[in-house]
Amino acid sequence: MTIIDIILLVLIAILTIVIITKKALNYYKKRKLVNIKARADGELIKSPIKYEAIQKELKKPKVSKLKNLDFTDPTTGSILIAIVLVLILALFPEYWHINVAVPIYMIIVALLAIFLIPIIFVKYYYMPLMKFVPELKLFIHARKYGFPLTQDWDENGFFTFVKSTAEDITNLPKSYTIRGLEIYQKLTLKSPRKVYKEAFQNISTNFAVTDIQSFRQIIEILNKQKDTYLLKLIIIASFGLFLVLIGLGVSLKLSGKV
Amino acid sequence: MVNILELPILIPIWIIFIVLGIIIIILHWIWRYRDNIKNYCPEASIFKHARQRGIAIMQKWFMTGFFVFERLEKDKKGDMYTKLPDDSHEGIRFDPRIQSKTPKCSTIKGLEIYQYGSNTPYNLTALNAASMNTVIEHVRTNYPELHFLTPQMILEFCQKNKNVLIQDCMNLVSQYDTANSFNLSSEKVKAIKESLKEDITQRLGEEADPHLIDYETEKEYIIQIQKTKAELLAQVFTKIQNELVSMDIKPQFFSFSDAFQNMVSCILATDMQTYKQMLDKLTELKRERFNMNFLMTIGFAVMLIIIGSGIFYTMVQGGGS
Repeated sequence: MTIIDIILLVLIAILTIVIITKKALNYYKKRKLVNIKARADGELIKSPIKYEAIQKELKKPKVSKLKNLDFTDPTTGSILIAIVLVLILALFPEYWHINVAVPIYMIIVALLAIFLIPIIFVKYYYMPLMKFVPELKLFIHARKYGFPLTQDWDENGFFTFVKSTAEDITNLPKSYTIRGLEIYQKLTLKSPRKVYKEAFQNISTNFAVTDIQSFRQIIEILNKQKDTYLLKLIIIASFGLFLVLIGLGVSLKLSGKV
Repeated sequence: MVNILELPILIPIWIIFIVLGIIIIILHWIWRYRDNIKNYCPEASIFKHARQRGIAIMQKWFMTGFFVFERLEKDKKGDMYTKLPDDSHEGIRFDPRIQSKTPKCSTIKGLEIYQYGSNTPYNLTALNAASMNTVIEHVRTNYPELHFLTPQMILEFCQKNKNVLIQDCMNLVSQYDTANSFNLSSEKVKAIKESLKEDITQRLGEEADPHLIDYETEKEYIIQIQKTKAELLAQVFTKIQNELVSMDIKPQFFSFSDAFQNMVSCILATDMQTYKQMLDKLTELKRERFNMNFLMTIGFAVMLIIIGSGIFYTMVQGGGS
């Protein structure tokens, strides 16, 4: 390795570190801002004092520090690994051009790992989740940043999950699910509905007396036991065989064959 | 013979580093993503499973306001009640989709989520819960004299048939001395008492013991006053019922746990489980009887065939000898 090689390598390493660190800091700064904003929305309803403090924090000029980086975050973690690799190569340039004998099957396994793992993950985990759980992002953000949700119902029984605002849920009894996600219920009516009908008539508690269909299955189970056609079939078949045997005996006897 | 797969290829070490780095990054990202979903959206698997297989979800409400999402699974298609684990003491929940008028409870993107109480076999819709809330609010705001009634009793009396309303109001007044809101004025009380005393004196005779007359008057008075209060209460409820018929539901925030708490139904999910167990027992008994009949029939059939074969054999052998 020549001296030019080493200088070039060090330059590339420094450049890579600078670019990646800058990117990581930008990412972190952006994410922290989003976090603070979302937390502010969540805290507004819980504690006005805390909300004030967060508002103040928001107004402060944001200077991200490297020590605050979350290395368990996938992006930051990946960048860290890349930095370590580049550093190793930069510190030990004599190993840069060493060739290692690798069997073909190991290369195939490595290539499969690089291409197949993400494809399988995306096809069988990520895509179905995105397709079948459109509420996913909202639920994750609500839990992560601590803001409540509202199940917004219409008069036809359809609803959507939406983000709650502070005024909405003041003085409401707590309504929460596991891991502290608060979901409140709201009814929005486009056409009027009558109280008496919905509270006392269109209610499922009338089910037991009004809906005969609900007892259909019980009656079916009981009726099935009465179904004795198999027994009748056995009796008729055996009696038929009995007659055939006697008839055959009689006819053979009469014909003189036996 | 040389195995091609084991043939070595010379690769620079930095390429191996990069490949390893990429694999680590991919695995790290996948692990973090799964972890994120597990921590921040544990419902995701239930929602995904339900949408994929077209099954509904039960949002089960507890009285504290806590709720959980669970799959509304059934043993087989067409069953009217939900799947019941052997060790479950929660009781049976009816599938609302087999009702003639299926209540709609669905997200815009087609996932059905029905609301059940922790101990109720039936579900409620948002309209039911909001209308119950409207009724309670209306009574609490406009009829302060009914403050002694619990929300559940308000709902119960608001849906009572007019034929039984007066009798039930009578029972209510006799149970609850707290119906003080319907207290009569002292003049009216005095007038009622005097009128009753006159009647009782006439009935018992002038020479009757004055203590007995006072005792009987007081007794009659209590009954009379309860009757008057019950009539007043019934009048109020009739008025409320008439108002509710034409009243619209208010768009509002409401709570399903309150609605399940106030719901007027004495049938619990565990009761339905008991009925089911009784029916299962009856069916089992019938099946035992069926099995006995089946064995008898088979026995009779075998006997017929043996006799027939015996006669046939005797005839054939007799002829041959």
